[in-house]
Amino acid sequence: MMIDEAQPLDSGSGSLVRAESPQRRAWRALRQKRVAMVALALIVVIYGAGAYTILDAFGLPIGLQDPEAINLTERRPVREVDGVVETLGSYMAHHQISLEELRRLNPETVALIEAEVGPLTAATIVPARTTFVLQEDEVLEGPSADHWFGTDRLGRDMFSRTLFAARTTLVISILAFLFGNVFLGLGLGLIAGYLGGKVDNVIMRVGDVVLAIPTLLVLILVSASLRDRWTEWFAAIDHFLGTTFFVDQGIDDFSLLFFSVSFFSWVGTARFVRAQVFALREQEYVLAAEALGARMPRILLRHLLPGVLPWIVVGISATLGAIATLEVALTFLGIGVQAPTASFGAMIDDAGGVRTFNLHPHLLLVPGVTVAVLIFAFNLLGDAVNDVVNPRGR
Amino acid sequence: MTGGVLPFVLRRLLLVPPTLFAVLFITFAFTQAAPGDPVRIITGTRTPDPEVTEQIREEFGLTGGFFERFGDYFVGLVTRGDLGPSYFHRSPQRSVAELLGERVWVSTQLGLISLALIFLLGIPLGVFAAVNRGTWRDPFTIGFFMIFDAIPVLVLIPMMVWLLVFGLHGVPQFFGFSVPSVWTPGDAASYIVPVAALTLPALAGMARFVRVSVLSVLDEDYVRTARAKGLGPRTVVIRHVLRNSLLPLSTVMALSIVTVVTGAILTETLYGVPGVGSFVFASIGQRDFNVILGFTLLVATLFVLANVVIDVAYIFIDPRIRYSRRA
Repeated sequence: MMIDEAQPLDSGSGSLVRAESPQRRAWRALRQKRVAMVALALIVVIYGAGAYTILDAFGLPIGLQDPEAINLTERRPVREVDGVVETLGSYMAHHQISLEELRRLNPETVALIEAEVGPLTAATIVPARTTFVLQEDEVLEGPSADHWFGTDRLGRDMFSRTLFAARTTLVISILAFLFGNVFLGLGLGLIAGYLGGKVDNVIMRVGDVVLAIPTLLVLILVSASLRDRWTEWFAAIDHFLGTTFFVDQGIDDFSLLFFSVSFFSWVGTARFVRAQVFALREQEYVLAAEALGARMPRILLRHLLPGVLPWIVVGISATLGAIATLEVALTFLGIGVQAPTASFGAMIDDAGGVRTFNLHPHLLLVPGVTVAVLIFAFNLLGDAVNDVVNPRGR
Repeated sequence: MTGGVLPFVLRRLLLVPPTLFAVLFITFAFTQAAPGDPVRIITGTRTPDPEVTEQIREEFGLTGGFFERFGDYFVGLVTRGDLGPSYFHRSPQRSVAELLGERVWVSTQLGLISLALIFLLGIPLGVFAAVNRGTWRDPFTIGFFMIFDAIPVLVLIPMMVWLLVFGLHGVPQFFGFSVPSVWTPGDAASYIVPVAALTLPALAGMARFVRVSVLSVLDEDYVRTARAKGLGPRTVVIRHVLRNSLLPLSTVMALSIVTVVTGAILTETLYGVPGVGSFVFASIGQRDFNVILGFTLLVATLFVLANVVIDVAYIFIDPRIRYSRRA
């Protein structure tokens, strides 16, 4: 097949047709798989939605409702200053509400007052401490044109919360992957594999210990002991910079979460990379580089890294899916992203038990289905990539 | 070259105590670093009486520096199996070991049933998928169970209970059981939901593992030979393929144990099972750090020992394996 597709050599100009790189070939094979492409599309949609809401962190308008805006019933009494009751006009101006709106929201109260003093106008003086409803609650509504995914217990828009939850998952999973798997896992694996001996022994024994500690439990302890201090540090950074960006955007929560997840998830990658490097470092080209006097960083990054990198890429999908799963459990245990920041874990946690599910299924279904689709897509894509790169399983 | 079986086992066992000691040290350090005076957590007041404070410090071994406390805890653990006193269960004062001991039986039952089911169902599913490779049955089998892997347990349990209790309202009996909506002591049907919640998410992983393992054996020469000499497909799979492809399975075992144990925290809490998992969850809210520390040590020990047993068992299962020091 390859021969059929290859262009005949143009002997005249002497240029050679560049052979297809293994990466391109793998990508082409992956594109043939319909399941993989559907999974990839789903991931792009959900992560893309999350990425879109990052714009909001920089103050750009994104045309979504505020995911943290609570829409409960709002009632305000008519004020009385020095024994003088304010007019209805002043009340309406103060609370920015029109007469029609007031009538619509308070039919019974208005009917009672009108029976006594006649039709309401701006000059009407109503009895002191009369309480009008200014805004109806929008709590626990099903999907509608105003709220595509309905609203939650506090009347917050679930569509907007879902998008912001995708942002939480996006940020935490990518950072935890980069720091845990790439920086720690790949880095320590390369060093352990290349240096061997004592260094290797120390790294691998530390790995044994980390692996033996149950992740979920140690994260509870880490969170309990570090969270307050961690937030203080970020508050100090904010204070130093004269902003409120870090604490307001929940950078403290996010970073604690991805750092602690990373510290307990690098071992698998490091072990794998180490084993690969053990084989690679005996190759002649590494020996040649050493003979030419190349230093260790150059050998690691230029000569050994390209040999292991494809394996890391293959693992991206499964890792991101696993971290998305972990976030849900961590938030339930009270150690994930803190309220009111939206996350799938928080939304699922808010949805409550069976009885609530029977009455308001959208509370659980919206975050549950979204996160399940995301994880399912990651697993499908991971399998497909694995099949392409490692065809023995076929 | 060959180190022999015994030295390998010894070397492997020698690594256990230092690993567990390091785990203990790290987790202990985290519990001690938690902000807030433990006396406040224990007494439940913000400004405890100085006299009471003194008494409680004495009673809970909270006097002295970090290393002194660690030394006391370590000695108590090694000599008496003491995991320290509970901060929360104070009248009468209970020890963590006691509290965990009372609850461990239910959790063990659930865990063992689930582990057995993961293997009993996962292996045939994986073999079925492998034998049917290239047809729609392979991806559909694996894909179907991957759905359960993707749904968070926190979503799966309410939906399962809803389906059993509300959804199948017209069907009073489910395979002869009526499933309660929360754990009911003495009702055998109570086991259905938590066991399903622990088993279903793990099936896809097991089936995928078995599938790959079976596929790698299916292409071996001896399988072709077995087919060529006219053995039926069933005999080939059971007698020749399965026996050789299940060897790597033992490595998954240790990981499955940890998954089931930590999964119990969520499952037991959501379904109200009075086991160690839900107890640990409650302890997080009560800031009863000694319970979390004790449970962490328990799981870590289980994991490390399971790994050793599996590594050693491997030598006997697969005679081709010779452990020796890397050259």
